[in-house]
Amino acid sequence: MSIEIQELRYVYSPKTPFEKIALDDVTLTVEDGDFFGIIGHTGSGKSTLISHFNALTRVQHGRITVDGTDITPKKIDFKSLRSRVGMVFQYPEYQLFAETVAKDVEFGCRNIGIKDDECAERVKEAIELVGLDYEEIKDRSPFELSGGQKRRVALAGVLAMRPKILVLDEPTAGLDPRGKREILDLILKIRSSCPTTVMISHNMDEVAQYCNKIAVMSGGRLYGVFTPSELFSQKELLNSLSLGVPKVTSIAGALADRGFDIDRGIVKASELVEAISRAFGKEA
Amino acid sequence: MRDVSFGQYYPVSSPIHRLDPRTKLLSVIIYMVALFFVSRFTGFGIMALFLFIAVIVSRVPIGKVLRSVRAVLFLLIFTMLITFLFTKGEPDKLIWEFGILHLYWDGLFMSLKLCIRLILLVLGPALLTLTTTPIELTDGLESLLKPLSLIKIPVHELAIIMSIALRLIPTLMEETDKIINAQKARCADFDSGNIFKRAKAMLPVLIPLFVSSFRRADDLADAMDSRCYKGAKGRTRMRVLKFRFRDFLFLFIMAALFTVILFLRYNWLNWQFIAVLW
Repeated sequence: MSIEIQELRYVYSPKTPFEKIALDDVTLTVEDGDFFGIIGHTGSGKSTLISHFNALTRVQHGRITVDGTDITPKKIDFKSLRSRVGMVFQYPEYQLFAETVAKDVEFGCRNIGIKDDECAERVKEAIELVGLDYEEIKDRSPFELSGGQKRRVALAGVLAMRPKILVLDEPTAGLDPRGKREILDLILKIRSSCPTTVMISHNMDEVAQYCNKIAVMSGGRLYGVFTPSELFSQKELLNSLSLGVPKVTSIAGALADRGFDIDRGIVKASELVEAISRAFGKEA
Repeated sequence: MRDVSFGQYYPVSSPIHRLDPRTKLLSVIIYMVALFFVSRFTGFGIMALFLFIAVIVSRVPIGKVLRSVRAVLFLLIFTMLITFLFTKGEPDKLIWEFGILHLYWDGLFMSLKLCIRLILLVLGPALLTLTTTPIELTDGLESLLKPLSLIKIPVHELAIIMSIALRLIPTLMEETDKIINAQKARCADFDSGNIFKRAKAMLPVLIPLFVSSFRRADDLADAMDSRCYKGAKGRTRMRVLKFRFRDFLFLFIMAALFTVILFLRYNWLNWQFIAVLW
């Protein structure tokens, strides 16, 4: 399933003193099977952009096609669109409301009109998919869980709708390093059933490690879509946008500066390890 | 929901915006009291002219100010009709009669005056809130009510409660917005079904909102405690309110306006030209 965006422009509170251009002439395509990263500073329009994907924000100017369906017209099938484009917001644990975990997870599933039996099955599947013990957790209150568990439950609530694209707004915000890694591994695991993923992140290490394409946003405009090694080997561009470089790439760069034969565009830890052993092997 | 700008403050710079909030509060009080002394069309004309000039000076678009009338439109039409239909005037000035309903010229004038008075009553405070931020208003109110703390009324505490509440309204709106979006992303339906269904559909929004409000209140209390907040005693302020020349000038204008209105009403010196005014 793909998302095509053409010349998207969005203005908040038009024709008032509070008018603000949030998106300006954004054109990009998320293809089937992409792990699509979106980076940029706070206020660069990332969140406004992704909220267009499931028509929470309606198109003002431009055009968006999701899976071949134009979602620009005023009347569209919201339920079908929103169940296919699973959206997980920042701090999704704040959306939990039901008295038990199972009831919260089945909320979306019920809203799209799935019958009791199948719903229960999907809930079990989703809870297990996010790595929680279904029997142990299903009757507990979501409010008594730990932060990481809450986030998994919220994620399961979206997965129970069996989306085809998963859109994540900073899925690792506010978690400790271990929680971050767990959530990201989880997202990789989910890709077997939901192969297309869009992820907003502020963490360059994450996008370098997981994404195959990275869109750079700045001041409501799309700066470009790059592959990780393309993007992170352009130090000047990153500096001019005051974005950082992944740790892996900065190590590779530092080694290259000292005369080792290492590619500056390396973005993945495993590749760096390989390159280092190769470079040092040659010396020895 | 983002379009609901908080309160209705209109952020431009103008002489009216720059006035001390206490000046504006006092002026609105004088203005409203004056309105109740007006009994002739001339008086209403003067008040309306004054307000019109104030609006022009404030640089707030007239449409924005007039919009506040919409809130009382129903009340306006209702009271107008009632007064019109049920006021008895001089018998020779009867226009139309049906049972207990009768239309007199006097009734017509009375209901017209009532209508103008109501509109002007709404517009004055509207201009105040359009040109003064809620925080300024609270500061002004606290300062004006300070004498009440002598009779053990916790003026400072009330003011701080009010400013915290005002401060949190936009935050809560944003939060509500986010939660609504998150539930919509799970295909929640807020727009169909009867009123009970819709009320029930709001539960997935209200519960998370309550949870986060309590969390926020706890956090705020901790933050205030850790910065040694202990109430009004010995507390200084960052923005000290200060009366300037323009404030005295404006209050003088208000006093002059009030005097004119009183003269129009009572005509103490028995001036002929006032007596013949409408």
